[in-house]
Amino acid sequence: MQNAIDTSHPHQRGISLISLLIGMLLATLALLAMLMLFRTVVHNSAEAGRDSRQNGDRSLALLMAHQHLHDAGYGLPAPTFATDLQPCNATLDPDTGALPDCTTAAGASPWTVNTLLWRFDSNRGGTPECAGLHSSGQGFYYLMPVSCETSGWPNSFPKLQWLLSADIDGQAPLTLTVETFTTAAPCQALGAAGSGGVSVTLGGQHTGSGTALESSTCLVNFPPQ
Amino acid sequence: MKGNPHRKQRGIATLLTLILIGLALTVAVMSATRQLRSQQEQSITLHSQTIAQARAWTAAEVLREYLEQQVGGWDAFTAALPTLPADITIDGFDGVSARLMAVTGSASPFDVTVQITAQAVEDTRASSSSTLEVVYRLTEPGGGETVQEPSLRVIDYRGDLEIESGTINIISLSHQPYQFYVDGNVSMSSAKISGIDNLLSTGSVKFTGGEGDFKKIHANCDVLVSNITVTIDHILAGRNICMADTVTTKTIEANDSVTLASVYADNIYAHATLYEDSEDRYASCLSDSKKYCTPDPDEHTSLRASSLSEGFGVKAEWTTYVRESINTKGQIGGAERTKKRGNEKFKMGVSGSCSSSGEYDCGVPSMGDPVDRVENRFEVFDVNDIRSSANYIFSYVKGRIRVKVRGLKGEKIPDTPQGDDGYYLVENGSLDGALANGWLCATESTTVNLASCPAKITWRNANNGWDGPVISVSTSGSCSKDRPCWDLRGDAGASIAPGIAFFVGDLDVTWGIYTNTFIATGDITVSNDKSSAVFAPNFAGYAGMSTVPSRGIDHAALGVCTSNPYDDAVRPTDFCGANNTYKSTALGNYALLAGSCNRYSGEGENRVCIEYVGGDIEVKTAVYGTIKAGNVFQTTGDGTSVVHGYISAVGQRGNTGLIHDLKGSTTIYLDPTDTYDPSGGLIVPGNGNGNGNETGTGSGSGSAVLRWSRYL
Repeated sequence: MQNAIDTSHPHQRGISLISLLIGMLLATLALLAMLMLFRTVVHNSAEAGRDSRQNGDRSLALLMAHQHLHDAGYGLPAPTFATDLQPCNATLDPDTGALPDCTTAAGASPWTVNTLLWRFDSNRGGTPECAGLHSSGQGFYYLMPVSCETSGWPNSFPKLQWLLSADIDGQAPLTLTVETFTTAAPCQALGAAGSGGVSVTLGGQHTGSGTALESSTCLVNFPPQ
Repeated sequence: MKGNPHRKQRGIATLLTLILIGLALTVAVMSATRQLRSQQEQSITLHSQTIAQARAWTAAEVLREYLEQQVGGWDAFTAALPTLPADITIDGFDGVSARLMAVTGSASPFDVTVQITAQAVEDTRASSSSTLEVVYRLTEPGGGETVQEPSLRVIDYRGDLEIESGTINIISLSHQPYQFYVDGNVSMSSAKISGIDNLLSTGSVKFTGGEGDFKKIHANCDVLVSNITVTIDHILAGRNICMADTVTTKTIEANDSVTLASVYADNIYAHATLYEDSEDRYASCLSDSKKYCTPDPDEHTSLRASSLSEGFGVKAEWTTYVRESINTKGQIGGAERTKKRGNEKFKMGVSGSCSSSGEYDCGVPSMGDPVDRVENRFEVFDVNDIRSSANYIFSYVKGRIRVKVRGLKGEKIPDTPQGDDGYYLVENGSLDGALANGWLCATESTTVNLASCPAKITWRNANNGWDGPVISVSTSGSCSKDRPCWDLRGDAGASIAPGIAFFVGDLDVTWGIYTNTFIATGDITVSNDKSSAVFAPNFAGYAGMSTVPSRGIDHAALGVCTSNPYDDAVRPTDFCGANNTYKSTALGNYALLAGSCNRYSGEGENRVCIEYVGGDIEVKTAVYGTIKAGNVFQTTGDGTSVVHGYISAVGQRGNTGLIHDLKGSTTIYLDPTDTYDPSGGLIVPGNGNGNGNETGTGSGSGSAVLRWSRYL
């Protein structure tokens, strides 16, 4: 009985040592592989998530900007391009909302600018309001409405709505391109309704792929020229 | 016993490690999945929002088409509109609802406000909706902007008018019942007016001496006529009529009373209605109206002694001859001085006591409807509203003449960009050592460089081989930098390239023949140099105009589209079409337009100018085109003016006490050409009726247009 019991001791010891070492090695390798995989998955997921979030944010900003743009000319008796919708270039102070000297865009249609100002009258017959969009290295802003005269533009928009950060992988700010249309070939809102004289295209880049992103809206409150 | 716990601990540690790693991986995967799902939902929501917007816009267009169909039956539609339910169902558009928010009226045109809400991917987590507010402008059939009937108001003035020794002669082959309309009082003495059927005044009319062949004189207040020898068929007054000194007429109608002295008439109607403190007040005068038929030493001596009380009736001061009847709800004064005009006795229809005589038989008065009012219409005319239609805009900027251009044929002369002051106009410059004038140059230099100077737009003495300056400007004297004075001294050859020329300031056309529509923010004067003239582009037409003395055309005009010596590049594309065709535009009918508003208050129909500038037009020679003055139009005593078009003066500057004074002789030819409409054609932008054609009674099909929209 004693011999039978002793035969098991050498087998157990050999297996225990070598298997432990090999097991540890394999476990370590497996663990390293899993960690590498984990790291890659987490990194890719984070990057894809960031790209997706940024693209989503940009799309949301464009959507909001277009909705704001549709206010342009609303309620004015005779909305006129250049009088009630002004593409120009300016420097915005994000802290104070100061927007001095918005320089009128030169050249012929279309104009690519960093600022677009417009006038509208929510109450139709009340006091006009002025609002705008501004895109620069500081970000993409909606210049929230302020009371204004029937001509000229305010030098300050105290309330700003930050639509999009400019700090996206060093990408250029969104561009604002304004184009006028004639009665012979007016634009239509979403290709469905109205007869507009002005369209605004917001341009940028997809994060990640870097492909161009453009989104246009037809301002049907402004009749074709 | 010591070795066994170690083996158990190793196994548990490994198991724990694996569990921890598994948990970490699970959490990471779930987080990534959740984030991905979140991004997908955001993306889907944005997408569905776009779909919702597209559906809302499509519904807006469907609704517009529906409204456009409805306005065809305007009366029924406007009658039913107040009873329509607020919620509108659009068949075939599930998930789209529309709500009628407001209707601004029922008189054409009016606005209808509708809120349209569209939903997309309903009943999912990505469901979104978009609400659009749209305002439709509805215009009744025939009341639109496209259908118009001719205006006959050859002379259309706002403000009082005085004509002393002036002559106005309308010559037309069409024999239309042309009108002389004055929104104010009219005073004519020793005036000679012919060719106009109707004289309409929103105030009072005094015509004492001279000649006139009016068929009708109609005033809202008083009419005083004396010392004219022609027949006036019909005289109507919102208050009193007083006539003297061999005036002959057929019908006299007054809402109050009639006073007569040595008058010949067929029928006389005096409603004798009290016009003060009366509920059924037919007779009334505007506050600025002059009451010529009230006893007043300044008025006619024959009528001075008349003590005509309000609501009196008919009074004969001197012998008056009546052919058919006198009708009044009041009384008859001086009946013994009324005589039959012919062999038959006339009817004396009075409400008061009456005794028949050998001259008349008493009877019941036959009263018709009271006299209607001459409508007065408010108008704002500002040349800045048509500034964008100009081919050339001349302004004085920092000591130089600057020219903005638009709509020229040549590619080398593109439209001046917004915000740019335009080209420099080089006058008294040099080109290759020779005198150079009238060049448009991109640089400030007065040395003309053909690389930077794309075109020449003025010529003077071109036929003599010497080129002088045509356009000069001054800021001294009564002129200023803000309102410079422009002086044009061209010649019969070329002067300024044809097209629409807009001047910021006052404009004097001193010499030269021009094929241009001249527009000035200030005043315009056309000198008395008889060799000079201004032709509206439509009058000159594609190839120009030769003299036709029989039609009063005493000057030759440069063609708009064949205008040597000008380069083909400066042809205005608004007028010069393909295949040598000419395109008439409304503005091309006009020769002169002046006046602008510096400051407004109010908006839309309530817009009122509170600082009007210029608007005076004085013509001393020939103008071949329609004229519109924002303030007054004048001719002077020594001038003999020939105008081939309608004349309107809106009287916007200092309307209180404003008096238009016509002293010169003005002949107005009104025959159209193939390209020219002397009435001015379509209405020139502004919010009044302008000098153009009337609107509202045509046969258009009505319209529903999307006027405003916004997202809510």
